[in-house]
Amino acid sequence: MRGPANRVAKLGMLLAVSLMLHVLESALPLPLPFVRLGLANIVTVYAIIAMGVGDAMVLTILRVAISSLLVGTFLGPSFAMALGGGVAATLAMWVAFRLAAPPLGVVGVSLVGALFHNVAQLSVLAILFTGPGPAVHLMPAAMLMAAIAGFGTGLVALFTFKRIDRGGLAGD
Amino acid sequence: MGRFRIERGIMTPADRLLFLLMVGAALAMLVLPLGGKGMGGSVVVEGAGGFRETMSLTEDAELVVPGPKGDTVVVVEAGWVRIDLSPCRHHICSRMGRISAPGRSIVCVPNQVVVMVEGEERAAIDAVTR
Repeated sequence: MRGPANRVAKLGMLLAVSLMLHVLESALPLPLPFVRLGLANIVTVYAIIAMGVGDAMVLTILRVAISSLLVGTFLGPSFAMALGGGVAATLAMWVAFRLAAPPLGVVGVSLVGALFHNVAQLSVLAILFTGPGPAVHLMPAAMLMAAIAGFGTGLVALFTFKRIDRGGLAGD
Repeated sequence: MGRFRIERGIMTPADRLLFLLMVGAALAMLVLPLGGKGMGGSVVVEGAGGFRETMSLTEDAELVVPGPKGDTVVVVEAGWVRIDLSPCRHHICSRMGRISAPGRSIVCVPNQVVVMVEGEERAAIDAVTR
C-alpha cells in the first residue's frame, strides 16, 4: 500500500492533525511570552521517522503558513518565529534521527526537536525584533519548557507509533 | 525503516541522559547570573532649575531630586531605575514601574523630574501579540 496516493493521503491527514494541534496551542495561555510548547512537533517526529525529512519539511511549512492564516498572524512576528522554530526543529530532528537514533529513541529525537524549536524561536526574536537582551533572559525558561514539552510530545509520538505500527500506517 | 526500531520501553538510556542534561542546563542558566542584568547603562535625572545628575545602572543608589512640590526620590536597584517616592498628586511617575532599556524614560510632570536611561533606543517593537 505505497505509492503517490498513499503518500498524499497520509500527508493530508498529518497536516490536518498538526494544524489542529498548532491552533489549539495558539489558544492555550502560557505564562511566558515567546516560549511555545511545540505540540505540533508530535506530527513532525512522526513524519521524520515514518516518511522522511522532505515530507516532514513540507508538513512543517504548510502547517505554519496555514495555521497563521487561521489564527491571523500571517507574516507577523509570531509567524516568523513559528517558521524559524518549525524549520529548525525539523532539520535538527532529522539530523538526530539519522546520526544518533540508535542510542536515542523517539522521545530523544523529540527532545532535540523541542530544544531547537525553542532556541530557534528565541534566535529569530533576537535577530529580527528585540536584540539579544530578552532572548538571553528567556533562554533558561525556554530550555526547561523544551525538556518538558519535548518529553510530552515524544511520548505521544511514541505511543502513536506503537498503536499505528500494528495497523501498518507507518509503512514498513 | 531500516535500523531504527521503535523502542520497547518509554525512554532509552540516551533519552534519559538528554532529558537530564536539558533540565540541568536550564537550571544552571537560571542559577548562574548571566552577567549584566539590565544593560548596565547610565541614567540621566533632570529636575527643576537645571538640576542634572547621572547615575550608573550597575550600582544601587538613591537620589533625592528637589522640585517645586517637594523631593522626588529616584532609586536604582539591580539594574533598574524607578521613581520611589514623589510628592505629586497622582503618582503617575512612581506607578510607571521600573525601566532599564536605553531610551526609556519616566517623567513626573508636577514635580518637573525626568528620568531617562541613556543610549540609543533600539528599533524594537513594543510588544508581540499572538
